[in-house]
Amino acid sequence: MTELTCIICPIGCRINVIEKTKANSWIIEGNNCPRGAEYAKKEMVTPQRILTAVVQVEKRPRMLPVKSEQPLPKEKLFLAMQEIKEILAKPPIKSGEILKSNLANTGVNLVATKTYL
Amino acid sequence: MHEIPIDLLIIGAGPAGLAAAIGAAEAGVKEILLLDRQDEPGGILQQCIHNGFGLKYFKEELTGPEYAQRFIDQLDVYPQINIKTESMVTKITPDRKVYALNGRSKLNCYQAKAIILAMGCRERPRGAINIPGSRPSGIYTAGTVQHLMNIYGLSPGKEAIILGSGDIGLIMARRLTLEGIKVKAVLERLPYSTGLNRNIVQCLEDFKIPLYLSHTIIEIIGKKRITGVQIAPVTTDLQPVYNKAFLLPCDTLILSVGLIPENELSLMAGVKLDPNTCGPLVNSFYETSVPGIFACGNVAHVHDLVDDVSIESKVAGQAAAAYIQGDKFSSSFFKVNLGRNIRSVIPQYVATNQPTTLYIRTHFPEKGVSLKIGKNRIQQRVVTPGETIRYTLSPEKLKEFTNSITVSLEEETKID
Repeated sequence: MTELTCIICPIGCRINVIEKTKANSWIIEGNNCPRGAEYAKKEMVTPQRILTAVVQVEKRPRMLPVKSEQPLPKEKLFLAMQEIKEILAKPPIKSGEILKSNLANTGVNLVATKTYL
Repeated sequence: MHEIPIDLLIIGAGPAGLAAAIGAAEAGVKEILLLDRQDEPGGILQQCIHNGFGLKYFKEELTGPEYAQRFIDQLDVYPQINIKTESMVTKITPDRKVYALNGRSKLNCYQAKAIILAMGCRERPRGAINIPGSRPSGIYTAGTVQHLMNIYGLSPGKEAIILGSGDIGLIMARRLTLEGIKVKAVLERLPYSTGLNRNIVQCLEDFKIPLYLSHTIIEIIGKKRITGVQIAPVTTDLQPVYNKAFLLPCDTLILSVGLIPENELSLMAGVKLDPNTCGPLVNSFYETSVPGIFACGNVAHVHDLVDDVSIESKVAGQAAAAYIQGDKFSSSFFKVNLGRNIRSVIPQYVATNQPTTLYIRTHFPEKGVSLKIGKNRIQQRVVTPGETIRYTLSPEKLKEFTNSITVSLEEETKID
């Protein structure tokens, strides 16, 4: 049995995952909502996380906050961070604008989370 | 001094101030002024670049700046709301005069019909916990590191130790690690973390950052720059065991040792504080002990979710509107008493006929207990001091009480 803490929302349900004899098939207990079951399954196969960071903005002292539009596989986070550090954003930038596509070769976009005029 | 008349003056344009302004505008207040000492609205959300905000309020997962922007965008709908940034309030009087320095030079005095206190909270610094040792550079509070890294892109050091396992400390442990800074340990004096469980998982366990429970720092070492800390385990009554101390080298120490509501202005206005929340005593309408002065958000009590700040601040905004318009509030209240394993409850006074959500904090973690409020018993799987328990009293449920409401946690089975 694997014990997990769900990270989908701040409730943080304690989920028990019991492996069945069939591959990639589990009994999932303790989650309060279907999203918890979904999280537990993903966590057993490929754990994924949203990545947030900041990028430099041309000729401005303040950084621009960014996020990966979709969760990235956990092992790709550091590679993605290396790519994010190379970015120099050119204002004006709108919140939601794509700053880099195919982050760490995952097919996921990096988007701005703030408008910078 | 010339007084500028204003219907509603809100101090602080963070999540509490913004939601309160919108609540008041929706309820028909004609003139609302928000004062904020930063150069943009949004408060501390602007440096909280991580996601996880808004699941409750907007039913989607947002980052701090995105959550703030949702409210800032709504302001365009209400021309009656004005914001003055770079404005520092220096004094409030019980008769609702507010003195503020606008920009760098001008001192203004506002005479408000109602005031909403929305100043938020601030971090406990090194001086508040009295760590012995020298006073080198390289010691920061977690929020300061967050500001330096996320707003200005500055790095605090190369090898960090974090004292305190509150949420900001945990979030910063992940942020530092992703930026290539080695986080050698997170230390927690208590035998459990005070942060949300999800943050222990996604900020520490994901990156294999060690969490030392029941450990504290007994000495800071370093002359110009910090070079290390002496760490010791603590006994059950939180006393360091000196002969078991060990040295951990580092060039950065980050303190995440608690937040305190910022109430210097509230005290000037004669507002009475609750020693348990460190914020003003408030009723179901978030009105303080001074009529016409309301308080909401982290100035009232430290929240774990900004979504709850927005919800309660809207209530405060609507109540301030009713006060300005001369509507009668309920005048009878039940006092909330703290029972077994209850550290604080807000509001402290529940209107006898008003549906009211109680925000409850516990002293210590427990399993298999029930929350007991009057005849109602609600089973709790796990309670911890880091996670607020919420309970809404409907007018129906309020009928059973006569003069006070006692909230307690009652044991069902012994903790293992």
